[in-house]
Amino acid sequence: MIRLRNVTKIYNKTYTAIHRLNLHISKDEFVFLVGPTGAGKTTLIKLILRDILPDSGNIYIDKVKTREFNEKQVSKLRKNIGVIFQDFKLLNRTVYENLAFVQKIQGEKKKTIKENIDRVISLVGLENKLGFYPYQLSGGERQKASLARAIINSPHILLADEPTGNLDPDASWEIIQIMSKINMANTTVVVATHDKTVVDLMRKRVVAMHGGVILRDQQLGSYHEF
Amino acid sequence: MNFRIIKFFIEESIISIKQNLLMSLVSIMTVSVSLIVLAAFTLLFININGTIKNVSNNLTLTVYLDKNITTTGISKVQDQLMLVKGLNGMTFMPKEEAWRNLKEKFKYQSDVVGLITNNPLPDSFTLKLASISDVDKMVKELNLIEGITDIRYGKGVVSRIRRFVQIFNYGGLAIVGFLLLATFLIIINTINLTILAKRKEVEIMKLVGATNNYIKWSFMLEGFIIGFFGSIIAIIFVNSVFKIVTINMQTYFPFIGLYSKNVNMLALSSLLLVIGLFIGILGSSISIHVLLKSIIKK
Repeated sequence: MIRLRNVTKIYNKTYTAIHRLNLHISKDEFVFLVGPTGAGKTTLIKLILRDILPDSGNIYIDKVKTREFNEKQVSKLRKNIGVIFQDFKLLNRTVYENLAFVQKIQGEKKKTIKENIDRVISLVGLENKLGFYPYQLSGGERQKASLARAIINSPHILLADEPTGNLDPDASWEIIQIMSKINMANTTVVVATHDKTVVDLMRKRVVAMHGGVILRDQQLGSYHEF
Repeated sequence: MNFRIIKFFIEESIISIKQNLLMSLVSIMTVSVSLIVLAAFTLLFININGTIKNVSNNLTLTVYLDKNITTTGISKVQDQLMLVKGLNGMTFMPKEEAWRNLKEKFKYQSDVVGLITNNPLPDSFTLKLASISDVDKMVKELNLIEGITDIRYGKGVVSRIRRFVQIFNYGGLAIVGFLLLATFLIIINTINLTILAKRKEVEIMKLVGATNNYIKWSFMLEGFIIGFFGSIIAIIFVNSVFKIVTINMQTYFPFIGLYSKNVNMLALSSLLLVIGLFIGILGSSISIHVLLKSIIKK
């Protein structure tokens, strides 16, 4: 599903964020990327999303090299990859409008938009907050809205960059549980996180990074190596 | 591009304007003010140009005939004058009438005029010129006509007016050009600020799969709306003020000729609308192009 081969990313020609990294994530896997700040987790998420390009090496999504994608292919790729961030990145519009926006870009019919919103909003449990603006929601609710937006196109991959970074433990656990449900519905999930509790409780594959390289890749792993 | 997408672009532009209402209003007002200044200068230019033309058109030239010229000689001169190109009419002034006029003019100095017993004035023709541009050539031609002894006209005034017209035309065009450029730059800068304020929004749009063209279209439509409303305000303002000024000038200063009252205000309004739309669309497309480039480069 996702394959990185000898991927290196250097910022400003001086700082190596990712160094000759090789990684394979299979279809429907749930993977935690862990490691200290500056380990390269966010860069890895951005590379998969093709928000940035590697300086060397290649990234394949479904065996297709993303480096050579033109603008339309990138746009198509992003419709198949849902993404959420620590800072939610919601438009300053109601939850409904945030979710509708993604669908409208694709020229979906009003009826389909409504059906899709109903489907995802019940999954994240925000049925009563559709008319709310992001500033009227709690951190956990904002992340749920962001998550609903990320999955509205039924993507094959869901990327999450520190999704619980701004949330209390209960809200964090709720978000991770929803992501687990999404994973069970045949979506590959990659989560970059510092949240030790969540990683240890989930017992999923853990890829530990440091200084742009993978130190540990463990099935049913934990935050720290025992 | 289907109807749903077009509807989406329109909705997006309206949402965007509403969300950044203050910046959008600033952009609209910048377009309006710039276009009003441009229109005001154009009307001023038309008025000054009209005044100059009026002065030029009223310029006359007087040719004095030989003192001993006969009636036949006068007719001959008149026939030849009629062949001269660039004349808008002529009036003959017999020396007797000229002498009467002079005496009338100096009736309170009759003691001085009384010293002159014989009429010293010659017969003359006053020629009305169609244009001052060929006056030198005309004078040369008139000098060749037998019976004409002297030609008088405001030579200095003519050359000064001619020079002023030249400078005013070139200078006016240059000022209109600079005003257009300034208008364009101010509007681009304002729209640029409006769009830069939406950097986060554009980044999110790209993250959820919007193509560059998609983003460009919705922002260009926003530029179109800003340009449209900006020019409509300018058109309403210019037309209203123009009407008020024209009416008041005719009422209170009827002796001042307003040349711009003959201006086709529909044409001027259309021009303002076209300029407003053009700079609105161009300004937003340049700004969004720069913004997208910076987002891609990061």
